[in-house]
Amino acid sequence: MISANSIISILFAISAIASALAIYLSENVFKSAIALAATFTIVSLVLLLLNQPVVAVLQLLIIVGGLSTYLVVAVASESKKYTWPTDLRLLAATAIILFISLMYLMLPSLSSTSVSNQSIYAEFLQTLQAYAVTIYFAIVLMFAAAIGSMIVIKSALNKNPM
Amino acid sequence: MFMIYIMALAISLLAIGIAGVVSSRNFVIIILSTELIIAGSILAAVSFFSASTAINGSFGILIISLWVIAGVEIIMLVAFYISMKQQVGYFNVNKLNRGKG
Repeated sequence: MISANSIISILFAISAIASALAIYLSENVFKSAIALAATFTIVSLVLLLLNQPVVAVLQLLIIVGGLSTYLVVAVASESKKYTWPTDLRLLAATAIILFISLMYLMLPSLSSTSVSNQSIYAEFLQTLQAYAVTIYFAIVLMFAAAIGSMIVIKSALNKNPM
Repeated sequence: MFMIYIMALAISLLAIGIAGVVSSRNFVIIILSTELIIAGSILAAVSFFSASTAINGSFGILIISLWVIAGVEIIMLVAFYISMKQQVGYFNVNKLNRGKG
């Protein structure tokens, strides 16, 4: 018998995949950005289902609230026409091949709850925590690169406005 | 069984995102596809680590790193988009070489 959690996760999965496909089936880029925000929202609901409320709330705040709004305002609202549509046959073929091959690779590790798998995860996280300071500086550098790129673009726009 | 559905969803998002990058020529759609890839990878990471009982959910640094990568990537791609719009005027990535110089 299928549990309630399984039914809810199947519903979430179907709606997330549908909204992800709507990105490529939409008439214009603005609707595609809205579909992406809907996908992020459903992903945050799935995170809630996984008993990770903090991650779910942060996902909703950072990705849906911040990045999707930024994308919609900065990019999608300017592009009214959908000039070069996606090759849907290539999209479907690539997605199906990738899904089957990745599921084939991942299923053995998902079905086994062996001690070796869990020790690998624990070891990976310990290594990650050991390099936390390095990662912190890498994050700061990435933000500096992002802000620098915005400054360069702004100066280029001031010299030669669109 | 429940975890397999979540993992299948994560892998589907990842596969659709990669397929979108491969099959699209519109630069904005490629940006949206990369965000889809990151959403799939975040979901995969959380489902993997929350399934493991040996870890006690201390994987915040990994998730925050993924969010930062997503944020920085969007900022840089939008900057590149504005530059492309100014220099070339269109967003077909197959014709990017026309914007050089």
